[in-house]
Amino acid sequence: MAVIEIEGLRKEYRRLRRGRTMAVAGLDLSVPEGGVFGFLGPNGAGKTTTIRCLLGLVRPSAGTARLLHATTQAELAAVLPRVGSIVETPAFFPAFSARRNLLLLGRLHGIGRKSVDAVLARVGLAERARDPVRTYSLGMKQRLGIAGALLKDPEVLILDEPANGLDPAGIKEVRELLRDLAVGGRTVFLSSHLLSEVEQVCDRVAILNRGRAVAIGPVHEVLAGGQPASLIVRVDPLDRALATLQSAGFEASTEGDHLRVRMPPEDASTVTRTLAGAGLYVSELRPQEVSLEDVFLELTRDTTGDEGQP
Amino acid sequence: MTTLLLIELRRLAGRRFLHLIVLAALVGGAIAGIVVYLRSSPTQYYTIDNLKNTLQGTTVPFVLASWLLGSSFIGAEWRAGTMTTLLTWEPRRFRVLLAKVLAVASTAAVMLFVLQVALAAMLLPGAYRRWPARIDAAWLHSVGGFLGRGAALAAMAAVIGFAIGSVGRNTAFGLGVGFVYLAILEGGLLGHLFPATRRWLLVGNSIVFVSGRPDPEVVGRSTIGAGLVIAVYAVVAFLIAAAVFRARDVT
Repeated sequence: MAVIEIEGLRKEYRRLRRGRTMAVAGLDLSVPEGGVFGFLGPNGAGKTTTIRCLLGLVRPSAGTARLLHATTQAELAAVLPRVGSIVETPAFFPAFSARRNLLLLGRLHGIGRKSVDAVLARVGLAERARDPVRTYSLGMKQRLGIAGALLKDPEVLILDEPANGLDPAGIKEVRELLRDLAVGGRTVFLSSHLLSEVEQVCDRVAILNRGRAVAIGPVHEVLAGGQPASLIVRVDPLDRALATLQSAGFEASTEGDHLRVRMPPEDASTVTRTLAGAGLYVSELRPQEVSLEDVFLELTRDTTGDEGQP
Repeated sequence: MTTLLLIELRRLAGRRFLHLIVLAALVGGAIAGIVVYLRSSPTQYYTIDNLKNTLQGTTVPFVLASWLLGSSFIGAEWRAGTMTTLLTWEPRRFRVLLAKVLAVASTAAVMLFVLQVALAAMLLPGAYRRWPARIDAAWLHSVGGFLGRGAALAAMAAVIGFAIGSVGRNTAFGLGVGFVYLAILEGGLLGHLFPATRRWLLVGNSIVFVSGRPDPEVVGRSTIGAGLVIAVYAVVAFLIAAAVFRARDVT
């Protein structure tokens, strides 16, 4: 069952000074129940606008964005107690303490002090819980935002850049927290720029560019689909090995001090056999690793960065 | 809705601007009370009728402060971005805005009433020092009437300030529009160029409503009629703000 269903979503902003801006241009997306779903894209790709559409903050120009099957404000009111969210930088009343801010929000859904204290402890803010939010660092505000998102003990978490402003230890804590939540059966919809984090924590990803999804699927499939599989081959002499492989029909090229052979890693034995047959012995043979960053940059290469909602 | 209203009341009660208004009023009232008491002499003294006039006069800054309170309450919310956070907990926008406006209107009314009573209490020793007359039922009735109407006017001013601040999503917008309308349009242009419009203007109706007396500038307007005119303006302003809030994106 899908917890988030987006069909043909379009959002166009009309501004007096800047004219029309297409933030989301026909996005189709389905997020299944359970696991961590990464939502990637360069600045202005439409990630935050999509999240705002899901939460009823922004009205789509066309298409639908359903969160737990809810689209209208009345329907959203019924499902929001099951959804925790962070939209961009979490905002709280600066003069109030973290605890007071969460107590006031929690009251809306009948959530009491114990739960508030528990989430503040979970995100490492227990000691500063009674200090005014205006005295918090960016990282602490982000932790408070995460606490606010967790306060409802939600089935679905929608997190827009939750690691923004966190130090490496904090990023690691968030990663572990997200994995724990996913293991516990929750669905986490994670928008992030930290590709290595997404690669480590997500089960599925969608890559957004210019308001459209350019890749969707399990992380390993998106990685495999981003670039043709290749092998890195170190052998001496390089020019003879290249000629041998090319004459045998391999798609090979020289890259610095090694050869790159386009073929799946499981067929690597044919390369060694061919080279050995010509009296050439490889010193290194490994599949070329493709990171999510490589795929992301490949798929979003044409982005100018001036599109979409800032 | 009740929970939402109570939450908004608590948020409003925590606002420093509200604390500043209360502090300034209390300090100013205390200083005025001491000065009145000390300067009261057998030939020049402060009476309970003077006290009544003082309370009528201080209604004006309290009403203006209420406008500012309404405008800043919603303006600060937009500036801090907390509206987004709140709407991810309660997406029904009309409810959200209604709870906020009820909170600010009731706070403004209570603020005016309580601070005016406190001011009266601080000025009363000076009024009693040399003047033999004492507070009677007629005085209480008269003062109670304009304090009650003043409180209602403060509530309506807060609603109008809130509504304008909500449309502009900015405190300065609420204040700017208020200044341009009250000082320039009403004060300078409309009333002079089109005298017939005076009976529909905010200031004239406010004076009639709070004083409880007809005003020759506001022809044919009773106290209740003047109050109703302002109430209609406040409700219309809020409904426009609510419609704009429902229609506009929260970005």
